[in-house]
Amino acid sequence: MTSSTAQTLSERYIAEVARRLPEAQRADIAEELRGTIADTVEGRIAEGGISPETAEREVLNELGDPTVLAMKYRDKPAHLIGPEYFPSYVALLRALVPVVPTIVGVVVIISALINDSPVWSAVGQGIGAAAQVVFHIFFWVTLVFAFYERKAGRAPKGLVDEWTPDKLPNHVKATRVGLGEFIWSLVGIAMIALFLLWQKDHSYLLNADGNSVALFHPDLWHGWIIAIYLTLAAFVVVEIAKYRTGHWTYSLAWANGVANAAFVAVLAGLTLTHRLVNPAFIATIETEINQPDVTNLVTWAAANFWVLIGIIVVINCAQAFLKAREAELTYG
Amino acid sequence: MTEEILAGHLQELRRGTVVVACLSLLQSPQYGYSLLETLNKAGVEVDTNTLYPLLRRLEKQGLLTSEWNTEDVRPRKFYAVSEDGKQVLDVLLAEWRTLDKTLNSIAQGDKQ
Repeated sequence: MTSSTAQTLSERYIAEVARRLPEAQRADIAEELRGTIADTVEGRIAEGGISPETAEREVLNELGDPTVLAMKYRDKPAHLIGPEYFPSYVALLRALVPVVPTIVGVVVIISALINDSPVWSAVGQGIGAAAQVVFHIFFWVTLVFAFYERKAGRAPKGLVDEWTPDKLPNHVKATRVGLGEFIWSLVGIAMIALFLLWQKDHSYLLNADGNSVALFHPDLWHGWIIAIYLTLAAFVVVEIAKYRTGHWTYSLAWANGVANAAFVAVLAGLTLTHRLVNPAFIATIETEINQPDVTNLVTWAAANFWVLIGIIVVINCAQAFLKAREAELTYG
Repeated sequence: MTEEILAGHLQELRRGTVVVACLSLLQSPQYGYSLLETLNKAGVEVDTNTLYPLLRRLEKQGLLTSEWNTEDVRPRKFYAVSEDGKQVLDVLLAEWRTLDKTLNSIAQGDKQ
């Protein structure tokens, strides 16, 4: 029959399969596999002219990876998350990943700033925390779904919903607000957020001592910044909701209006308490740059600031309502 | 059309036929290796590493029964179709004939 080395080869193969099987089946399948390999090897040798070693090697090669064979015996899915759960899995990730890390990141940045961390260190901490949250979300969501994939027939209600025609949206959905438009809106908001941080230490305007002079009032960092970032977060939420709906709606337009109102309220609070523009900024322009044109321009801009803000806010709100009306007329 | 596409479709078409062939052949008890030989000689292509797990699954579903025979050169597990298995086989064969008829008439209808 087979030589001793060939025997150890197939015994090693059988052991590799068997140890991956449930204990109840282990001995039975191993015994059957042992017989099958022996029968097949004998058949190969009888067919003609190959050594027992070659035959054994050939047969094991055809049986393939012991891990895969054991998986076939176990009749367990060889995938992490199958087609039944995959849509819910993706839907949950899409709901969590944009929102939760953003909130965590912003909260971490603000609390670091309140604790007087340098700006870039605060931003770094925020990004680091957000990245960790992304990993955690992927890990735990995947773990839970992979678990349910292996607990056939035990899907909890809500994890996988039965689809019915009632779930169809009550109108034909518009071509979605493009991903590009969505990303640009977020980039715009992020740039405002970063500018507020940046101008604190990196304004191009230098005073007599060579230190940079912030554009905005230093009191901004005593609480006001939280209000500003919360309004910016409100705009982000509106943008996300709009992207997910695919177009403006009246409720989104109202939400956008509320975000604008909050923004105006914060600016009004800053203006009324004289905490918006850093007085040192204008003073430094007068003394350091010492050009009447520039000074005039800056004082003019500061005086007409409210007109500019007013125009932007009105256009932004009106546009949202007009687009919501347009969407309603088109899609019911 | 690439060979891979063709191979994929052929495999899909043949997938269920192995079960029908096994249930048919196991009306007289056989052990795995001899069943594999019979199948391959009859032109039903199936790999060892597919057939054995399939036999286990059919046994678990109650369509096959099994018994160890220790009187041979080496111990062998003999499989035979159960009563339930015979009923399933009848339904599957009837379905197969219907499919054959349907597909033939569709194919001929195209030619006319």
